[in-house]
Amino acid sequence: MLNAQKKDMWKLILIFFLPAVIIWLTAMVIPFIYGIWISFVKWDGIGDNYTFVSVANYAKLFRNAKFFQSLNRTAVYTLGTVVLSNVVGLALGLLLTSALKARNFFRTTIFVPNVIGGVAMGYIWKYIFHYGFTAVGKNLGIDWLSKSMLSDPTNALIALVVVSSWQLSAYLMIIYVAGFTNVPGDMVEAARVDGASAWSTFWHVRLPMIRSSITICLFLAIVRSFMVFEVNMSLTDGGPYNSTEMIALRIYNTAFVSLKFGDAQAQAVILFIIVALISVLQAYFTSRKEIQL
Amino acid sequence: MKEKNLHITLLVLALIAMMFYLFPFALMLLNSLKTTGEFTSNPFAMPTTIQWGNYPYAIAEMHFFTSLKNSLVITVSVCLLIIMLGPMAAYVVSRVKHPFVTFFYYFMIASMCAPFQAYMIPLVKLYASKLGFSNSPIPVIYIGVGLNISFSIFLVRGFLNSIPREIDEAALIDGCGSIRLYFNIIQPMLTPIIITLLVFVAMGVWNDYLLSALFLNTQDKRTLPMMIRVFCAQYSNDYSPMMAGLVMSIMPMLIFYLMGQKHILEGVVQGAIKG
Repeated sequence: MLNAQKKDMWKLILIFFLPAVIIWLTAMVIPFIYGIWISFVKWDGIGDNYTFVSVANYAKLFRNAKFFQSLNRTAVYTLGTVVLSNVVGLALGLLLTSALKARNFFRTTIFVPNVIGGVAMGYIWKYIFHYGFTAVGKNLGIDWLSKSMLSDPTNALIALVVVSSWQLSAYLMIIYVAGFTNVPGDMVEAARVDGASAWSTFWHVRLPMIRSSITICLFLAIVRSFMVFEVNMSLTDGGPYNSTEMIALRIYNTAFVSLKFGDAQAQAVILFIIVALISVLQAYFTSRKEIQL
Repeated sequence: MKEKNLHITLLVLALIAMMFYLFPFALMLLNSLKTTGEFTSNPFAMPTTIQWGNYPYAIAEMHFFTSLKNSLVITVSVCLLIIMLGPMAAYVVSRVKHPFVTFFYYFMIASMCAPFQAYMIPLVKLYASKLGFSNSPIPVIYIGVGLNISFSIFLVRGFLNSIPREIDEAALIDGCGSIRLYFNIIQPMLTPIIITLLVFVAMGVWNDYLLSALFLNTQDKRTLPMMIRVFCAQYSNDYSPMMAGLVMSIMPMLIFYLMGQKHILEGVVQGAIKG
């Protein structure tokens, strides 16, 4: 740090840094700490009528099969979405860094699903599942496609995975494109000159070189899927028969539909712990490898 | 000849991929111009007569311009505050090596991974019940800034670290104070990263549903994503106007994207390295 800057240091901290810190503290940190307190009380959300119940909300939660079903379902959904979106995103990244002409045009258009929010996306797909796919199914005589996928519990979950991956894969594609762009062209060239096939060049040269992009994309997909809310609400709204209610939607419904704020907050704290653990794992994995994009 | 075949294969693959990502939009557009009857009988058929009327109907029914204005007020306010406060704080993080700054910076970065649900309920309790900001865009704007500030500091800091200190030094020796140095010399150099930050934050805030839904509950305050939800739930049997409404609601963001797509794609890559 420069001497002249030292003189102004506290002025800088006070005027430039403190406002940001205060907003962040009041919008995130204080509510979060307050939330931990709420998870220990019984509160219907109206007025100040709450009673301290210690760990009763958590105890109730651990006896609640529906909560574990929701967590379990979120894990299954996450697994499906992470695999599908990464495989498709990687393939797109490869395609859009190949010798293809108009690569930028394709990158721009394929990314478009990420421009619209989860609510609009869920509704657009809802009508495609209800009327688009059923029309195709009826015309071609495909039985399982003739009735809406969203009305069957298993198919509705698959539909949710497909819609989420449709959007997420286009997002990950951009990160994979950046990864593949940074693989030195002469390395690939050298492998080809030495007689390596296209497949083994991909598998032994290019894929190891984008390892850090893969780590980033995997964790990004895990965290995003675990916290899925908006598309869950608009596409299936948890239905049919609560079979697709993921954990974030469940927290929302417990709080703002059932008005059990303590219960909802206890679930939210559990969700926080899970996501925090995933992030710690991510930090561990990324610190082991040099991040290059 | 072999190379030409490869080019054609790649082009065909890319076209198929593009169709997969765009067909929902095409279907939406097509069906917004048909009657609901035509839509339900065959979503893929062309309209017999183009039903432009769906659009004015949807605009009136979803109070499109009111919600557009509400969305604009919130998004513009959050963006202005973020592009002002974020780079300023990032400048301190980049230039001032003091434990106070470093501590808060790493704490802020770590907080970026916390799920919104973890503090959603207390936010309502604190801002709507205790402070009395119910049905007001003010907490939505304020909290919107709070949720985006960490990312903005992180993003701009990376850029600031690549600006040589000699520039600071020269100005300071000439007797320029740190604050004037920032506004006169550093901030103008940040324009590219501020644009990236701006489009990234704007997209997130514009498309936000949950935060707005927590605080805004009457129709005259609703944002566009909230309006879509209400409209689609209320008119659940009248599909064609609903498609028109969806087209209208995604149009502003689509135009914004087409204007700033280079910066958005850049922001995705830079935002991803935050791990």
